[in-house]
Amino acid sequence: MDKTLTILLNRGPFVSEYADLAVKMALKAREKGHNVNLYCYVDGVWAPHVKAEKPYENVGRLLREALDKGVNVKMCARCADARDVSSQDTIEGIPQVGLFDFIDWMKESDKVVTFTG
Amino acid sequence: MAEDIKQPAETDEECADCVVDVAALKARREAQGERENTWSALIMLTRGTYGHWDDAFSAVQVGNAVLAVEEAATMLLVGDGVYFAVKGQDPSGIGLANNTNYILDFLDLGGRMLVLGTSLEKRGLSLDDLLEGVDVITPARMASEVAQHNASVTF
Repeated sequence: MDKTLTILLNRGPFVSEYADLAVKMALKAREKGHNVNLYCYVDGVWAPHVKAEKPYENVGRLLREALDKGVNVKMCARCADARDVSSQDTIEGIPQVGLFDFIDWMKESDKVVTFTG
Repeated sequence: MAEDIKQPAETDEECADCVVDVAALKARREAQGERENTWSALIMLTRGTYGHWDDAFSAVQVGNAVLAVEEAATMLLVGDGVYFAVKGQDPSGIGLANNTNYILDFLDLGGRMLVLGTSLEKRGLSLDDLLEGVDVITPARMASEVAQHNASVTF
């Protein structure tokens, strides 16, 4: 039976592996047929900011793959505003939303996993 | 109702529900009688309050948002997170806002705040150093608290 996994990402890319691991977990869970939500919170809003193609492994490429495979991705609007992360600067298909979207995801999930550090 | 406070946020527009409207919540709670929660969230804070300010602030915002949708929330402070509940905080000298009001709001709204005793002791602190309404728990109790909640997140 399909289950729902929600992943909370609190950290940005490159300075640690958390962002990559969060999206890789999302992809693996989708591969197994589960519903997956990924909420970028606090410094996690920097992950969708990795928008351009790069000649090396990066979280932006992973996020685009995740969106293509049906992972639901949203980011915290307050956190984005505080960091001047605008929707024009981020990967298309990742809306800036309020915290209640994450609370709704938590409530409908079988498991919630946090990537922080 | 929760919908009065829970407004959808449009992309790049001012976000009405990004910071929980505690005053509106308190007014609604006062108008309500006793209620039973069917779902609960545990929010674990492992970071010191100032210097990792957005972690602490964001953690308590999650707690208040859970309370806003009529569910139960517990904050569990472990490691350096215990500093979050210390009374008499005054970070004005370093230009940061005091967290105390956020904690008092969380407690007023019916949230529970627990501190791991061993983390507290290792930092030379005790229950007397904490804000009123905060409880100190053992590691065994911490395990049972984690098990009792439907979901947990960590900051």
